[in-house]
Amino acid sequence: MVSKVYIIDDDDISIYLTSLVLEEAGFAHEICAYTSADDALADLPLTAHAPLPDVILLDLNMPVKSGWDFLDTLRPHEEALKGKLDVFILTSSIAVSDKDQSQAYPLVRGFLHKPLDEESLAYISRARNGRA
Amino acid sequence: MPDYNYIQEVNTQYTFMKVNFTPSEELTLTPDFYSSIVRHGSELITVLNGEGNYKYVSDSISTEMGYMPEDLLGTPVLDLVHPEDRPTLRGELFKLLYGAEKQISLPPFRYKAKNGKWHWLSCVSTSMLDNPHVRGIVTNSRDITSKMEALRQKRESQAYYKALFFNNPDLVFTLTINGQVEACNDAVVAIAGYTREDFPESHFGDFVLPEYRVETFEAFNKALAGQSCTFETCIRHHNGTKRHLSATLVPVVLEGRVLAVQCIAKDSTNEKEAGLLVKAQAQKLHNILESMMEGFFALDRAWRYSFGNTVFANFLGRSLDDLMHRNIWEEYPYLIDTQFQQKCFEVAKTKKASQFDEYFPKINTILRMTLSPFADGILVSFVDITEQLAAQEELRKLSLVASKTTNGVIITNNQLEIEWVNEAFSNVTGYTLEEVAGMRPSDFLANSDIDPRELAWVREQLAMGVPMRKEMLSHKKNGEMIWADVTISPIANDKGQIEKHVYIHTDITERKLDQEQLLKTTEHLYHQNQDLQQFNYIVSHNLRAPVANLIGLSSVLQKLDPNSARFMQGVQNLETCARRLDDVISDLNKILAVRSANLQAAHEMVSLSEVAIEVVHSLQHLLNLSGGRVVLNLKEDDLLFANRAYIYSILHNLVSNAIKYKSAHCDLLIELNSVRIKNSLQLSIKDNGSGMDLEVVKPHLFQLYKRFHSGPDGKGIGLYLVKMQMNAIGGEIEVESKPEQGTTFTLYFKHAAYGQ
Repeated sequence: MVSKVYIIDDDDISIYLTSLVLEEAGFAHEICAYTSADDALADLPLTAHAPLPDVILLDLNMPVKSGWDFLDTLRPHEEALKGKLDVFILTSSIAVSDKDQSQAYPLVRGFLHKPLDEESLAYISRARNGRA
Repeated sequence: MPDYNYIQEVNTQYTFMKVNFTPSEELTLTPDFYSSIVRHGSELITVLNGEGNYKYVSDSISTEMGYMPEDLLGTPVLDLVHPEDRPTLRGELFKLLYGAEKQISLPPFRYKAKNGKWHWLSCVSTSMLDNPHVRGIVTNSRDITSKMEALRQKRESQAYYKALFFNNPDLVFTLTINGQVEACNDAVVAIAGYTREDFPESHFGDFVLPEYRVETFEAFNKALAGQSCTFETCIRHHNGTKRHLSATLVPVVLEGRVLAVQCIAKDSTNEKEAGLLVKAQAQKLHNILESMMEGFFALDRAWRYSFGNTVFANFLGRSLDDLMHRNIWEEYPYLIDTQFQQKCFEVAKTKKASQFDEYFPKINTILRMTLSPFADGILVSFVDITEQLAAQEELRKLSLVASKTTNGVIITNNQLEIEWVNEAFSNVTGYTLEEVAGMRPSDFLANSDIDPRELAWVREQLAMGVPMRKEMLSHKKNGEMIWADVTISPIANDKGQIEKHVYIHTDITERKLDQEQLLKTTEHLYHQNQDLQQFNYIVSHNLRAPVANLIGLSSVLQKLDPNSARFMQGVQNLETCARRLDDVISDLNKILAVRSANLQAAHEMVSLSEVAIEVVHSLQHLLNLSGGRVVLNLKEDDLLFANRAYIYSILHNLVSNAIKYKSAHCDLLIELNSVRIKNSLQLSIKDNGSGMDLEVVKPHLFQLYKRFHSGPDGKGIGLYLVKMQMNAIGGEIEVESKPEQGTTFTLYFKHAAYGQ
């Protein structure tokens, strides 16, 4: 069980659904949901020594700042965050190009399709354990 | 010729006396004694009477002259004297006969012997006419023939010598064994320019030029050693000029000793100079022939090479020495039966020069040959014109290409003034050479809207020798426009200066139209492709998102207690999702409707102000809610020929956007202004809303499902539809915006319908 999960998604229903699945599975102690990338970035303790979220579930297609913009903002901190924070893309997109693009970001540990289900959660665990 | 008869006559007047011999008393000088002495003495003694006839002749006459004394007695003495000597002798006899002289030594005279030979006699005659014993003239004669002969010979040699020495036209002089000039003839004086007085003191070496001295002294020493020799030398004339001499030194030897050296020299200056001149002229001629670009050779009458220049030798690849005196037909049998041979024979016969070109297959060469007759044979000069002819042929072909090609060709001078155009150019543009000669192509071909700076730049490039290629619109003579691909190549001369420009003017109107068609097709395809991509995006994101939620929700709901609050919330969300899915599907329908309808959409006369009022009316409740206001500055005749539904949709979208994104700091004001520009209408929709940072959003502004505001409103389809609809009715849309300063959308309707 991880201690903290961020959900970043502009779709309220998607947040509701994802949170519900995580809660039902008892995946994390704490679930934080953000409807925009900027909100999530504002909460992310990049410079302070406060604990980071273990997992971020990131939607791609969002207005103003997309999932990609969020990842680009983290670029300068990649080295510091690597190993401490795992990003999993959670998108409704079934476009292959999106999956390819995500591999350019070392923080991204996996690419998941909505809706989040138990199988996806198992994948997240495996990915995290595999590294540990 | 002495008068013999006269002598005869004179002779008859003489009376010769007989010698009276008185014997000596002491020596018993008897008449016999005297008679014996006289008779038998070796000396010839004769006595003549007063008429000059022999009265007595001593016996010695027979040994001396072959006569018997009795043969001569009574004959006149002068008969046997040489006619040439007779007058002198007669004179002397007269002197004796008439007592002028008692005794006379007669000058030597010739006396005819019996055998006819002349003998020289030296006589002393004494008149003894008074002596009664003698009564005659006694003459003692001695035969001095041999002495006289010797004397004559000596005189003769002297005359020869004198002739040889003094009258010789060549230089003759005598040198002492010390080398001094002892005597010289006039020729020496004339040729050396010194007087005789200058010589005796001088050594011959003083006159010889230094560079000839060694050889000259050698020759002199040889002569001193008794050996004559001939050599060439050169002396300095009194006036300083040179005289070339061809000299022979001959030692004068007497009794084994060299007394002097005789020199005979010939002035060879003229020959020498002539020789040098000939040599120089020959050299000059040689130089001329060598400097000729043409090959040159001479054939003698037997068709043998007698001369050739280097060009000729190089042409054959043989040395001249090797070729000389060889027969041309034997050396080069391939020349037999050629036009060349035929012409050679002809020129030799007619003595008339001939020029012709001939191809020699054996050496694959075309020669232009000139045959000229001369005294000793034929002169042949030739030039290899193979390349020249090939170049001419190429030129001919090129000009054929240039004149027959379907591309227009223009040739200009370096000022870009036309010198020549081909037929094709005239056919395409309608301009003939006469009409355009001297003009610059740009003056009548170029489109008037071409930038003069560009034209200047092109000319500058051409002047620098840079070739140009450009597609440009050209005027035809009849005013039509054609698209032309124009290639301009500067042509430089050997010195790198631009002399001409060659324009290749190709009519590419058809290609250009095809190209435009292709461009349109490509654009259409591009849009189609973009639409497909958009559709793909819609499917993968916007259509898939609600579907994913539906799947997720339905699976979650199964696990929830149907009576729980969570379950109820899930069901509500399920409904929301289904609605969103429906929205997306209806959006797609709208898009597809515009797409498929496009130009086929029914166009009608649309009054902009009417539609605007309708739109404002439909949005009135939203305006009221936000406290917004719309100002319409439109005119009655703002009419468009367009699809009314699109115009409505466009205005509705833009006005509702303005309402959606109003500023939080001030009341919303929306202004619609129309401006008429020629036949097009420009409509601006200006608000004072929250605005956008165009730098960030512009690339995506009119794209489908791109949203720039977070929050519940807006799906990102409105502006996409506006753009599509504007395009469908032939218009453009532009946007200006700044954050918190409002946004202005400007619509350009190309097909306004003023006056229709």
